[in-house]
Amino acid sequence: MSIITVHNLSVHYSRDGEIIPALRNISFEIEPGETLAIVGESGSGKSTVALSLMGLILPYEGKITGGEIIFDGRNLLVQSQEQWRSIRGKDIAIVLQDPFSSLNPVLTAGEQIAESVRHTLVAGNDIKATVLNALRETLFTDTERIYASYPHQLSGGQRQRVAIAMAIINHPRILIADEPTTALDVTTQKEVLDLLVRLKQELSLTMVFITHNLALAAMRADRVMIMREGTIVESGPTAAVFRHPHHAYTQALVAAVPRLKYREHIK
Amino acid sequence: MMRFYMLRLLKQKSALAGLIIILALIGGGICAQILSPCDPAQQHVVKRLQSPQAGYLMGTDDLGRDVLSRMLHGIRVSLGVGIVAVGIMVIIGTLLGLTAGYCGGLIDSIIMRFVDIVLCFPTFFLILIVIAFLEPSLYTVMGVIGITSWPGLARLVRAEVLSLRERDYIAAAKMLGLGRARLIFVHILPNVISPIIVAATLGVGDAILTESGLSFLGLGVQPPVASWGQMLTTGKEYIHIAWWLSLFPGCAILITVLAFNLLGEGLRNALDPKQL
Repeated sequence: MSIITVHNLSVHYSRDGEIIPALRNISFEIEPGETLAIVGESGSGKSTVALSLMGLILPYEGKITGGEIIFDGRNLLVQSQEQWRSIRGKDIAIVLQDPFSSLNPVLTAGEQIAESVRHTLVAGNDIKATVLNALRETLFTDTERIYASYPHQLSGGQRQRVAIAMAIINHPRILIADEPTTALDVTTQKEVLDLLVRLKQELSLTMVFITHNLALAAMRADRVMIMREGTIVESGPTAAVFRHPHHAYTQALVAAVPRLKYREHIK
Repeated sequence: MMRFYMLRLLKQKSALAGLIIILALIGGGICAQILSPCDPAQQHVVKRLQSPQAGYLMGTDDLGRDVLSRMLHGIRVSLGVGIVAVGIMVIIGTLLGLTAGYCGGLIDSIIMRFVDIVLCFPTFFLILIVIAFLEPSLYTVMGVIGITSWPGLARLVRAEVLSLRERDYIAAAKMLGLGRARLIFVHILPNVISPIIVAATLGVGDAILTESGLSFLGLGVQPPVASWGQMLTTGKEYIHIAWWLSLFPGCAILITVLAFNLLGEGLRNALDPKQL
């Protein structure tokens, strides 16, 4: 029984009256507890998938033109904004790509994380304790200091961990990571990835990992889904897709991975 | 954070000068009762039109009232009008700007077209029309200046919100499932506060100037309340024989408006990360 079923989803963006298709009739399922990697180049529609799952295709930018997203037995696409808000951040949470722009510069890290629990908890002390706990879960040791820090006082890796704390604080069932390491340097990338993998296990999350880095996908995911120009080119268990890519595009992608790294991780 | 901006502000000499003048004016206004040598409304017809001298440092007017005392009490009117009018301007302008910018679409169009319509009328004449229908008084003046001066601020706030709305951290806040009001007031508003502060400071100068103009035309604050603009009107009639009646209120208006403009410019530089 899959946790999310996407069926024939189509999305287009419109700019100055011109219609640009972003997703063309895509269908896929996410199994509970798995890590699904969505891999694709820029403009392939992978982030649009994430936005659709969050119900955040903004009306002045684009439109979902067809299909359904079934979560918990109901179609998310026909529900009201109120119902969406009860899912966002609680059942489905997201970590964005660039931690330098995804944190509000005028709120402290603690205040921002607290925003996600404000409707579930009431008392001020509870909120702070929960936030500090979330910071501990994201491997901060000096939680009090981080709580009171503004984003500009934190490093890129720290910021991304704050963003992760914000996403996992409500123990969502699905965590979408939209290129969570692209904006970070290599050593920090590993740190953040390891943290995500660890949290996935500890909190038994289902994870959707969006990336353009095939090697990363190979390392962490149970299943991969290769996207190109708004369609799913190929999908299946990671090892199978990498060993026997069927589609020419996947073959080209796999061939483009630096050899050494590829061997090391695909064994 | 506050300390940091405070230092950046005080480092600018002109802003510091503006701030000192404003603080002095506020002090003078608060202590007007104590500092004034005479009752500002007390008439001594025998001593009318005395030139500045010991006892009457700024001379007396056509009814023998002490100009210095009237100047000091005039601070209250000027600053009071400036601050209240700007308060009204900030509330209306910010709310409409935030709504237009965040909601977009039809609501944005309606609000902005309304702004365009208000901006079509020359502000001063708009105020004159409103005053013509209402009783001219201190409170009418405050209200009317406030109600007619918000369109510029609304535009400014809307433009800021339009760019903020696209930022990742606003999207991130939305993804937490936050409501519209919380997004607007907790996540967006603090980010537009610095242009609002600058506009408000510059707005105080404008409001004081407008009040003086209205009072000069006799449509502003009514006697016996002392106001600089109204004192200028009296001074005009005696300008050939009593220069002090026009000079002091005129200079006071000039210096006050200048001080607010200097402080406003200073704040703009201090709050703008690209400056200094």
